[in-house]
Amino acid sequence: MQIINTLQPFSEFRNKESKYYLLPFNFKSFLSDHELLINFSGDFLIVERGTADRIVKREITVDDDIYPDLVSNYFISEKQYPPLLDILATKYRTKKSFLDEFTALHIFVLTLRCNHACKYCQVSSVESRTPDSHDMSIENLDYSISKMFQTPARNITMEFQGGEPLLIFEKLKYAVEQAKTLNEIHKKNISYVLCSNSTLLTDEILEYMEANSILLSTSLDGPELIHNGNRIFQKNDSYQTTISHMKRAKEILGEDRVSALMTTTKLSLSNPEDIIDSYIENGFSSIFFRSINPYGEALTDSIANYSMDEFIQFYKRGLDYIIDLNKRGIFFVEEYAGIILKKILTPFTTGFVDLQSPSGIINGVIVYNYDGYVYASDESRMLAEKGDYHFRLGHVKDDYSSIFYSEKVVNIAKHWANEALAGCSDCCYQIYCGTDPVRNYSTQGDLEGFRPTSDFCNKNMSIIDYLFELMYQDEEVFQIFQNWISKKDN
Amino acid sequence: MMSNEISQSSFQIKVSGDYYTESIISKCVYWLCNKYLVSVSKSNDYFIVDIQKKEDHFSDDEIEKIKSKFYQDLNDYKTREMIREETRSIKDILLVKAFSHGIDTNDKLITQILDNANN
Repeated sequence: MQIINTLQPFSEFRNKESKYYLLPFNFKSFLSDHELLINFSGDFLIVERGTADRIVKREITVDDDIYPDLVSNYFISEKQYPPLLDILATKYRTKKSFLDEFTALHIFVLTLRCNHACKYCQVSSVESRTPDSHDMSIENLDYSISKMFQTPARNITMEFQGGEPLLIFEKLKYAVEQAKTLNEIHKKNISYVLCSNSTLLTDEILEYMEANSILLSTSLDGPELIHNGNRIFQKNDSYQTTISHMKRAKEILGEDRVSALMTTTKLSLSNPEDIIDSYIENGFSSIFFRSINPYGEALTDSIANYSMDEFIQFYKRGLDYIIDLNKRGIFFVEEYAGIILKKILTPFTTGFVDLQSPSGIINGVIVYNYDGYVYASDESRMLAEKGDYHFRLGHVKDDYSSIFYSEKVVNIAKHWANEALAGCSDCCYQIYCGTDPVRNYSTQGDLEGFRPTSDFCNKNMSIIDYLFELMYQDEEVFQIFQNWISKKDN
Repeated sequence: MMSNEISQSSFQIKVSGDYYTESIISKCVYWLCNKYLVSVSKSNDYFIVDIQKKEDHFSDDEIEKIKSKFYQDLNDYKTREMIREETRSIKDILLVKAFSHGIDTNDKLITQILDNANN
């Protein structure tokens, strides 16, 4: 028996009356004559300029080519209750999944002392400072670990920072052992991260890290000239020491257990290609272009004194170079773009606290400072080093609720959702972006901030615009970006 | 909407208060405040947006660029406002569904949805 499959054209299934209902979406002009439509969960369409207006005025008909795209991508619905409403709600929930567990990243500032005197360092660390007053005491460390275990999050990260935490490696070991012992009761999934300049790493330390699955996050600002120009190592050549210790770390911990962060200074601005090449030479397949944090010493040092527009120019040039490398068959990722692209091109989000709304401070990260005080974020404690305690939430000896649910936190919370901030509430990129009340406060004088002069807004708007432009104008770039996301997820 | 009265250091944009809300005007003005001194007043059925240069004088080209951006923003914010008003209830439902735990989402929804289709 012959079966003849007679499929009807799509138009047969269309709503003949052109009657549709709007679903929540936003839009912005894109390039000269296009428009970017972004729906409630972050899915996008690039269409002709004026399409949003036509949608609202019900000028789109079932015969328009865009009609099925608008229906299938949840911009409009043919029914008052879209049959797949739950799917759209689930997609939105997935985009906000960083809220599921509350504070996951717990930063322990073990010491303020450091063996470097980096020109952009926010806390002006000095090795010769007295350990008694600049290292975390065992008592405060115990209280801090206890606070960490009170978080409702099941998956937590214990990150050790400084100063240079390897100056007091024995205390770091104590913290890890104590956490492991307590975790026999709490049974959380703990990841350990050591943020170190690597210069004090020894085989003994690396073997301990390997045995306890501690990741290494180190600093590499680029080639020798730039790295040593930024990072003043009192005793030695910072670049050579870092590189040799990093290689050893990769041998013992494994390639994927060592990552590096670069900080952009004036020395970097004209050399993005050299910086990227130095990362490749040292065996990395990604880089994170990080603009300088406008806190503490960084505010006053000339090496850190550049505009956000200069950084954006540097970023775009670097990204162009990275894309060119990928086109030539070299897999290499710019991490900040990767974070944003994951939000744009997948239903998922990331744990990156700087691009979250509600903000990553407190919700995603908390800092236990060397002196026992608890801060809303790493940047908050840097402000405190300059005498501003606005984001000091309490002491590790205080009750959990009096730190995390205090009136101070409630006041911060009034300004930490971009859905409710002037300039952000109508922004098309809201679902991809975030808020940073600490940065608003430190750079603009209040928690709310003012978007027209906000560096945070300028940076993210410019970068997201550029990513969309690159994807739209070059199909190969779109494929490269897709590749970044799928490879990073594997 | 219409514009008039160009002077050396300031100019005004007159906007229909019947079609554009105060909220829309405020959103347009917000993005001008970093560069200019802007005030909004109401006269009969119009909003009068007064834009002053903080220093120096406007060139004709600068005024045209500001007006072009302002008119574009007016229409875009108007469209966004229409979307927001029409989708307010469905957005509430989506948020409830997204963040409700242990609630059977197959239960009948009791929230009213504005029926603005084809209005």
